[in-house]
Amino acid sequence: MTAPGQPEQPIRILIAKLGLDGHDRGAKVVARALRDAGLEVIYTGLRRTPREVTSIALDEDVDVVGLSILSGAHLGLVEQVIAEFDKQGDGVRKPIVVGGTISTHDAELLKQMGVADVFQVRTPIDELAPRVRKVVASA
Amino acid sequence: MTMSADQLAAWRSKNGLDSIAERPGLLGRNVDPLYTPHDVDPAVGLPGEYPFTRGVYPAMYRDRLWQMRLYSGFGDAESTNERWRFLLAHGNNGVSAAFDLPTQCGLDSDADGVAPEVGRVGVAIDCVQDFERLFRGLPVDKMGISLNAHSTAPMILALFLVAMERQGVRPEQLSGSMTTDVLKDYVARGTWIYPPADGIRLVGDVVEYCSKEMPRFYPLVIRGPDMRDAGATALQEVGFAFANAIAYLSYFAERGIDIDKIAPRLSAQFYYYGDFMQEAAKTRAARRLWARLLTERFGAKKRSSTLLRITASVGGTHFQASEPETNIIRGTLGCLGAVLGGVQGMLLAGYDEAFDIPTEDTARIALRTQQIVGYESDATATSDPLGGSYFVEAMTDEIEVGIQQIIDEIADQGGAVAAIESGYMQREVAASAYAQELAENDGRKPLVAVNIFRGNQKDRELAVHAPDSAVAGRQCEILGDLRQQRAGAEVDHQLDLLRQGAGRGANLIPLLMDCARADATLGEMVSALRSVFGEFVEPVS
Repeated sequence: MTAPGQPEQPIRILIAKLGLDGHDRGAKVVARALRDAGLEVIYTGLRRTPREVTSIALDEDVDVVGLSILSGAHLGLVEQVIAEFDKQGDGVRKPIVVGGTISTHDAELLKQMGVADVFQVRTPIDELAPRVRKVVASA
Repeated sequence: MTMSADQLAAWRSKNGLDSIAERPGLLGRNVDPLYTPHDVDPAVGLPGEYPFTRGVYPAMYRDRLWQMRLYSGFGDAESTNERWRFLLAHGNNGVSAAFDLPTQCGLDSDADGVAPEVGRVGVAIDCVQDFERLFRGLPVDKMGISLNAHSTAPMILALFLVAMERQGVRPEQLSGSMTTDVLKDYVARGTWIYPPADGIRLVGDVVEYCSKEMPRFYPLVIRGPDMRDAGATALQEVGFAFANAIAYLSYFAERGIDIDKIAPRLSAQFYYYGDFMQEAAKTRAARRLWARLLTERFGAKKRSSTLLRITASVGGTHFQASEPETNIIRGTLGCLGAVLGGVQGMLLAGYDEAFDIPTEDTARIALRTQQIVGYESDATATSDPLGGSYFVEAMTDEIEVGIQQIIDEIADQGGAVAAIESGYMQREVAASAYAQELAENDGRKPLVAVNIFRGNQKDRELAVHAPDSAVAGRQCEILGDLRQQRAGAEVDHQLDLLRQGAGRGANLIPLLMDCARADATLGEMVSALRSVFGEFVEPVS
């Protein structure tokens, strides 16, 4: 919690394109919307491996990691990121949110795996920042 | 028409036409609520005649319908072969192969970390054997085969041709098309590998090889839909695609390739949203602009060099997750726009596109949509049925001017390659995507059941494609056996020759085919060339 009177630090979020999927429209729109809402956004660019995403998240000490996946490979890839945090994180595991073409069924599975929030297709753009803030606040 | 421009202006004002709320069209500005003869040039010409505004054939669909070819592939060769047989049995004209992401990025199925993506969005192809299994029992010399390979087009072509060779089919017997357009992958879609200049060189190798050996094959499809899917406007879609085409054509000219030898086999692909009158106008404008570009700038002499065949891509980003069945109607409108625009081929997405690749059921409906428009509607009864429409002719003219402006802007940036390396095209597309997102978010762009008339029903969960998680394991087994059984020294030797050929600027297709004959894998060929060309570095902002 920020003490009264102190300027609040903006939330730092890593937006990552995981795996080989090159559809970055969503990632870029989300990055811009979050920036416009006052968050500090680091975008990885395409084709990052779970290992790379995890090490960037730890190096940059972000508050939350946003993974964008539209290839359908979300379950396998998210599992790998969580495993990487266990390996590299030294006890630190950043909260993870996932966005993309994800069915309600898979969204439930992702949450069971420990994902904090899932942004399915057509999540209203003005819901993004409040939901990310909520994830960080309850982390 | 006896009314003068002044009289018309007074009439419009009296009837309140100038004070109606704006409705932005594909040009990004207001669509006039009324178009009249004052807006059009009556000399629009005839279909089948230069500059082909009204279509590429005189009798258009009375002569032949478009090729209905759904984009399809998933899992391994067997599961894709089975889906293709299903589609062929329901009237699909030929096959259009969707490859998985490792195949598109040039990685073998046993590469580090790719297992979750093997066979996921397309079929996994690693070696010649995979292509043999993929086409087993299909009449390959009698059907159109579209290979949707981009950066890996040269290697995919080599593996495919060697697989055909092993079945006794020669390159000249094969008809169909291959995407091959790499430049659009740096702008959108992102399955790039090498730097753009090397990418263009490889496109040149494919086009040159096919112009000699595969006369029935279309070796390069200039693609816009990937950029439209990434957020580009309809004008950027065509403008950037044509700017990319100019980069290829200029390179071919430098390389001494005769424009009239290759241009007749070039084609384009564009996307069709629900604004079907304007999408039809876009198609007409694109054909006219292309005809003039090829004649005036590239000195094409043959009529067939200037005639642009267009394949329509319907359904992608504009298919919604909410009430997915409504996408069947969105698909129908897109299909209608493509048909009224006079396209030669079409692929239509499943209505479950917002969730996953199509199931057998959703693919069937996508095919049926095209068939119903083709056989049951009169959109196909006469050539260019919208020809002479004040609205469509005016939009055709205005869209043509708009596309030309975008082509000129890219030229000012130093051409397509410079505009990609600086990230200009990528930024433009991202800016359009954001503007569109805001318009859809606040309802300026109405979407039924998404931002208007949402109702209170909870969405029924669709039965979506069930991925086969065992594909990666099976592909790894095949690869393991292959690597053990083949003559390793011969593979190394052929890969060496490939690297040498790359270094001295040889056409690499014959060398890639030699690698394929030695049972080198896709990933090995791609890596060998990476050691010569290096890799693209994405400008990230």
